[in-house]
Amino acid sequence: MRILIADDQVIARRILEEAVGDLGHEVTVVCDGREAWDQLTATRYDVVISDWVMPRIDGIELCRRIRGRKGEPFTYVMLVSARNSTEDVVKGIMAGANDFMTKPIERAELRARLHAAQRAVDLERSLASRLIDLERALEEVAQLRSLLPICMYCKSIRNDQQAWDDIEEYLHRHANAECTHSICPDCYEQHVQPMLDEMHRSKKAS
Amino acid sequence: MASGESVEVLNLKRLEDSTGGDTELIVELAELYIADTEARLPELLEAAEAQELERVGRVAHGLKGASASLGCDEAAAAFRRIEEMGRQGIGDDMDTAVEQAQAAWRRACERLREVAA
Repeated sequence: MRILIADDQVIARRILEEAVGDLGHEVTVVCDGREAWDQLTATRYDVVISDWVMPRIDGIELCRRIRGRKGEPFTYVMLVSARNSTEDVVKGIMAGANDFMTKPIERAELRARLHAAQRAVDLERSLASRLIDLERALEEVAQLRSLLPICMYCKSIRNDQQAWDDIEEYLHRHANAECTHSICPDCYEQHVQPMLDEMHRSKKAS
Repeated sequence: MASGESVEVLNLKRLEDSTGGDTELIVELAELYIADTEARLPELLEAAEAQELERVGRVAHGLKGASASLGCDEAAAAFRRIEEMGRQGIGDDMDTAVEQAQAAWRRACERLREVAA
């Protein structure tokens, strides 16, 4: 996974960098929440491991900003802090963190929590991919629905029960549209004018 | 810390856990810890002398975190006490607390040098 680590404490940062790197992940480290936010607006990360107390933008504000993004791929956020009261954990999770880890970090615990993060990231990716497939399928259905089987001679339309409806009736039933009746110039020339001519001829003849 | 409570100068299990037993990393982190905390201690002393308790708490928080990460438990506990005093606005006995923290820090540095040698 691509993992961003944000911690203003050099020792904690270096320990995390080494531990996460040893687990085979691609790691980027930054010194505070502002740098983390700048990184996140430029690059996609699967996981953010952020300290709580940091200058400029703290871990809580960083969580809120990450969750406030629209249309961005899912990012798993792990908040780390020496704070460990229930109140602190609740505040962190409510701000948007997926997980909360108490400092100092233990490697075995970090490994287990990153496994959980991997599962969540994989699940989110799979859901996002299925959502794209579903949207494509819906587009295709909409396209098929817009293709009407129409008789090339009488212009009747085949309905869902495989019966043939008059086009006016079909439009009324499916689009709630009523037709007004008129005659286009071509049809006037082709159908009406010959009838009128015939009527005049019959009148003269009689 | 409560009287009679035994706190290790250097918790080797914690150091091992933080570094995965990587000796090169232990040496690097020991040097980093000594340099980093040495650079930050003057600010703690200055803030304590000026009774800027919020600043005292903030600086002590960082020193506590660095110490705890490497298993310097005694120093971490001493800096935690100063952090709490700073947060609670307790200025009395701050000088004594800072002196005790400095002494614990010196012992931690000494042990780290031995382990890293």
